[in-house]
Amino acid sequence: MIRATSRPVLWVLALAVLTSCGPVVTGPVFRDPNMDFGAIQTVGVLPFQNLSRDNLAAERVRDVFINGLLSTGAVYVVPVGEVARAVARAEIQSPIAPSPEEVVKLSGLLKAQAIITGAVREYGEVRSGASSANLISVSVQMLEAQTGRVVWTATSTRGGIDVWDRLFGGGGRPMNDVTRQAVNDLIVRLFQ
Amino acid sequence: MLLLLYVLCALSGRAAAGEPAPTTGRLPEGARLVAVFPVENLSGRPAPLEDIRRMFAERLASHGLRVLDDATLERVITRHRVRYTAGIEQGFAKALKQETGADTVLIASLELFDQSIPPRVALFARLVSTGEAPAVLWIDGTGAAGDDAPGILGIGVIEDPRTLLARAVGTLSSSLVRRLADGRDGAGPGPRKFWPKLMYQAEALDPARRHSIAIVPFFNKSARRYGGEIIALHMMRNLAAAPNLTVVEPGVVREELLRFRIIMSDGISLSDTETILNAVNADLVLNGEVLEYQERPWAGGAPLADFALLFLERKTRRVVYSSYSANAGDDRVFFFDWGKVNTAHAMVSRMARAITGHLLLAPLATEASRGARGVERR
Repeated sequence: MIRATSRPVLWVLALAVLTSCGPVVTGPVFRDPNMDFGAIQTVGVLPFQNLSRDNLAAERVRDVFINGLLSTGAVYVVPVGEVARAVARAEIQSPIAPSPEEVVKLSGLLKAQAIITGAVREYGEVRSGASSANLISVSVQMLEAQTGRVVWTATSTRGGIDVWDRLFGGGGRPMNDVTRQAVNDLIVRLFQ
Repeated sequence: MLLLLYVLCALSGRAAAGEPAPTTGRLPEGARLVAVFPVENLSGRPAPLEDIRRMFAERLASHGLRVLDDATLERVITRHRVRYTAGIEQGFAKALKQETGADTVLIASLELFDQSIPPRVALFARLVSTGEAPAVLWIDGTGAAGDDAPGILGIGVIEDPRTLLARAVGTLSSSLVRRLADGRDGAGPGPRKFWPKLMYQAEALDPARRHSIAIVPFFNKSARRYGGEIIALHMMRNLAAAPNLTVVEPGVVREELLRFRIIMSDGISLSDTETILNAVNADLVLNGEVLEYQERPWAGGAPLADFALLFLERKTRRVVYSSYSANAGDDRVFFFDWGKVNTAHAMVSRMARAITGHLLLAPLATEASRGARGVERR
């Protein structure tokens, strides 16, 4: 029998174990209170910055993000080819991190009310001891067309090694599933 | 008793392999004259291309079609200095008709030819009309692995790649003859697990009118050579099978891209869309990006495919359909490889069929049918 005095200790231990294995980490969100997000009907998504080891990670996440955003039906996303053409016409040197002036110029060319940039910070398999699982960490920010200032940012981290993976292995969920979850997470926060 | 068991085993293997039923339809006398073009090699490795071409010619002749002799075709190709035979350009289509009398051209593309055991073969073929306006009359594809239907005790396993190849050519030839004889299409609804994972649809295409689609080259960001061409062929095959859709011959689209010197760095722009669609007089342009296309990452593994595509409309200059698809051959396979897809061809074919199905459905119908797992609910 477990004595009553030792129960709190067990609870603390269990909580510590569970939190150390938690796979979902959701970062902070910034929303400009003065921004009218309902006025945004068209957005352009610039190429994401790739900070992971996978060369294709940024393009893959951008594709999923664009399709995810389009499928909400709430905003129209300008095709990537048109964005690339506008970036070339606006002579933007670094499309992954445009200046406010460049954002204003680009928005005018695209006839968009906002520009979205992003960065893929982690993408791929992570290992811990004998366990492995897929992990993604992505951050996105929205820049207003008229001033080029940041009106919304969000970060999402999904996947990773959970209790199940530690105990039974299995390699975690497929990368595509984890990517879609992270993108969903971001989009849900945008429309909150 | 043993003999009976052997016969049953052999039959189970053949039936499950989906061996084509013998074609019953014979073409009428004075049937079309077909020019069989050299086979396009998208397999990325050496393959018996000339044998495939000869097999096609023999099969078509056996079905009652007239085939243009090699010497005449060679002479016309040389005279017009044609080096691209994976499609047919407008000028050459007209010249071919005038100089040889050929009514149609058969263009075959070899997607996969793997001689390891069990072997794997995937092949596309399309029939394009000649004359003033070349049009895709028929397109089909087939992909098979030697262990698709092993049957009991592995009696149904095919170990000779040539046998598999002959079977693929036979399947396509029969499909073509069936189409010419009675206009039947083999298209049907696709399994739900191959539906796009993310999808946007602005509005349904008007079912009352015919829409023409120009497919521009897909971006290939996968490690698979010719991944873009292969996905484009899969899409063309399914779009062409739809009753109210027409696909512009890729050779004609290529000709216009070269003529207007259109270079796409990252997807197609709206001005390029307008230029192409005006040039080929089409309603929609299809562009896409292939991120993954793998046959088997490791021995015994399952194929992988991952691609995104979008349809841009000429009238509104907007995206009317966009989707992201990703699948593995062993998706939702839990016991004894039951339901596993062995070739990327067979898997992507189903993914492309699902996309075409959704494109033709009204958005509300599509929304209602999103109950399947795998398609994101919004």
